[in-house]
Amino acid sequence: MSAPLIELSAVTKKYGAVTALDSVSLTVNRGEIVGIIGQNGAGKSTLLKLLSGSVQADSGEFRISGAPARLGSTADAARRGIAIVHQEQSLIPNLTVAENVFVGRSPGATRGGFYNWPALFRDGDRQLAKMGCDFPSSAMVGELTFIQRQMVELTRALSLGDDSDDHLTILLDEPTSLLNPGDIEFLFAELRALKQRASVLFVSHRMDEVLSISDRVYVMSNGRCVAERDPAQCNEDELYRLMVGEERSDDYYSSRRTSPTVPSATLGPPALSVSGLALNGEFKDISFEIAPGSILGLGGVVDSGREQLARSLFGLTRAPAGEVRVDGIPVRISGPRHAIRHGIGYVAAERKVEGVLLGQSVARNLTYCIPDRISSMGWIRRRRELEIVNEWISKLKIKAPNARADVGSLSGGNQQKVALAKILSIPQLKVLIVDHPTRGLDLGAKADVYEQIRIATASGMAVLLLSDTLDELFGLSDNVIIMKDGQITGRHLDVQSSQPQFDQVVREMV
Amino acid sequence: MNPVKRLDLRGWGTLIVLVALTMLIASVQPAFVQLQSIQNMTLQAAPIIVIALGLTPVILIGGLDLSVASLASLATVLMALTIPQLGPAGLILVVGMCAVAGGLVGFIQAVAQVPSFIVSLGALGFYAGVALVVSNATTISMGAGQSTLEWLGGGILGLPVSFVLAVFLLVGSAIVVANTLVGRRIYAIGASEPAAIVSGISPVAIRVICFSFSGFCAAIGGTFLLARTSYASPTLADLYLLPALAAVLLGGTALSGGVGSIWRTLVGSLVVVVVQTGLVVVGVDPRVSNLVFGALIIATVAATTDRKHVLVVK
Repeated sequence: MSAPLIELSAVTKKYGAVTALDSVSLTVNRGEIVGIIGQNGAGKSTLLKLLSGSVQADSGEFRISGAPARLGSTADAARRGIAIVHQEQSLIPNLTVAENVFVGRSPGATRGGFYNWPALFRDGDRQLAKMGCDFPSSAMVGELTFIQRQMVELTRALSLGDDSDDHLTILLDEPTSLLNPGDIEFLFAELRALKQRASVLFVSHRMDEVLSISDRVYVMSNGRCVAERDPAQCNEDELYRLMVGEERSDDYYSSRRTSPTVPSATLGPPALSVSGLALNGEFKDISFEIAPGSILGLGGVVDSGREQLARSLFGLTRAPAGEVRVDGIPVRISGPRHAIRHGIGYVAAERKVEGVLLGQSVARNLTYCIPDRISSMGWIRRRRELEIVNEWISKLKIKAPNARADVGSLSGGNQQKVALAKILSIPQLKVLIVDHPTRGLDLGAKADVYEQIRIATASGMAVLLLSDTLDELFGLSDNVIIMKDGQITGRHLDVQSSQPQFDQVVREMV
Repeated sequence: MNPVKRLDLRGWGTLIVLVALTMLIASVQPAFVQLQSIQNMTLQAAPIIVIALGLTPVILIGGLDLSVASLASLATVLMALTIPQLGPAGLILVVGMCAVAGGLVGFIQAVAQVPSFIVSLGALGFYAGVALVVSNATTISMGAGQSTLEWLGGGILGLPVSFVLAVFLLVGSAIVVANTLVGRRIYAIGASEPAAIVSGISPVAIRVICFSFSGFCAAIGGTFLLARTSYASPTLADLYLLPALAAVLLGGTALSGGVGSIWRTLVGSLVVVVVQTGLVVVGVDPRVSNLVFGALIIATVAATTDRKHVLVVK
């Protein structure tokens, strides 16, 4: 048997005092799909950067087809047949598909430095056809759907194989994190078909996916490759244990069901009630109520209008028409400051953009929503501020070196806890809107977020939950409404006692 | 911790540069550190400190005000026209007008969502035009009005009043920015405006405050210049933009916003003055000093830009 296509032995990479990769060894053979699984911070990204030439190892050996390799850049890697498809898509939206496929390389289809457009599109169409894509390469990337763009990324990666003498290796970084289930199946079918032409390294933190697509799985934890498994002979529980080093808590939603639920009918007006809410071009005829201490799940696909609805309730869009009542009292919300004053809090989906202020301390991040509590006459009262900050750091078990540490230096899960605590510390808070609160978090961090949401409801908070997955939506919520094209298409009451059929829910969504 | 300790004394790097530079020049020309020379330098430093002080909050929120020097020039012209008639009331009137003009720049920037360097560049042209028209494009002597500003030329403990006043203003502002909600919000908007908005902070109000302060400081800077020269000119302060901007950036306040402090601008301003004077002392033509500051600005920003959060700078 010939040498493996890619072979790492005892590769170590340090960033300052942090060891990102600790003596990692792995192989990828020709025509193989290799899965890499690990929590955030396990070293998956560094591994991909190393293989794609954007960082170099401090020690250890990197061989391609048996020969030692030193890749100085991603262009080097591309020449050796290694292509990376990023989690955040790296296509240029205002160029055509064909230009994107050949970007950074000189396609044959130029004449004196100018594109020969017909030839370029012909080449582009030929590459797309190999992937079984049915859209023309003259289409603008910005007008494609997400899965189509993902296919363009793959097409670009595969077209590298034409320029390289080496066998092709495609590195996929969390390729499914933003896809819906049907698209994931489609992607997997394409990947299986690719095995004739290329090897694939599939990186994910979703265990079921890694198990179903991979021929072999490596488990990473704390920068080490802790195990190598045959997917046919292991299960999710085992992988989870290897990943986090503890037994999986089988159902992390369930503990809320054992907590005493408040009989909502006896508690007077709903914490939040909305009737006939409409925003031009975004949503219309939206009516619902949330009782204190209960969770309303808001389901729907991208563009269903549910994000805009949530944002409008916090005053982040133009003011919608219709009526909003908090504790039975009509309110008009003209901006976030207003919303906060009326007891409505919003935990943003884009954690690093809107959730926390990167570059600012944990203490400052925690207190931006409660200026009145930490100051008098506009002057900061340090002692009061520190008391509040320490109270919330310990309440949510935020792991930070100290209150003055940059929030950007915390892990994703702890950043999200800061974003949550910032809102939860608002004394008059009655309604908590959480927009995709567990996006990009690993399982342990997710469980922490769920726990905080449960604690909030136990203290009488009404929660409006927007979620990435149906499991999470139906696992956490008391009632669920489904939106499609800006309107409510389904209502499911008391979903904890009677779970609706998921295929019916999906029909309401699409 | 007490409020003074909160001032963020991380400008140490620049402070070391300041001391080293001073010692270097003094070793070439010992007269550089004599009382007379120091008095001269502090007199020169006063307008730079004040104009740079005004620029600092604007840069902390991630903005840029290119109109400060032009507004300072306009302020000298307006003062030369009003003070001889109105006395101190003219001074207050002009400073107030400049603060309002600055606030207007901030308001237009925030509401129309036009980049601040464009709005302030437009304002620069506007101020320069107004100054040329009302002054008839000539210098104006203060004449009898000079008595109103005479006290600025006096001394406190051997230092010029204008310098002491500039430092006093700076320290006061530093304490305010480090210890108030407004200061917090300035940093929040500089770090990430979307996140600040979601936290219930109104960027419009903060922007108006910062740009208005910048206009106020520009007028004070103009006043110091006017007191020193005793005549006004529509271009009197125009050459102060580059040194003032260099002072803020050399101090270590980042052009990308959210990082830096008022205190650092004091150190940065002193470095600028030492370089300015030092160039003359070591025999370099003073006319090239702006060339030096232009290069310093580019080098400082290149060295201090935070590329962790911004991948490509346009």
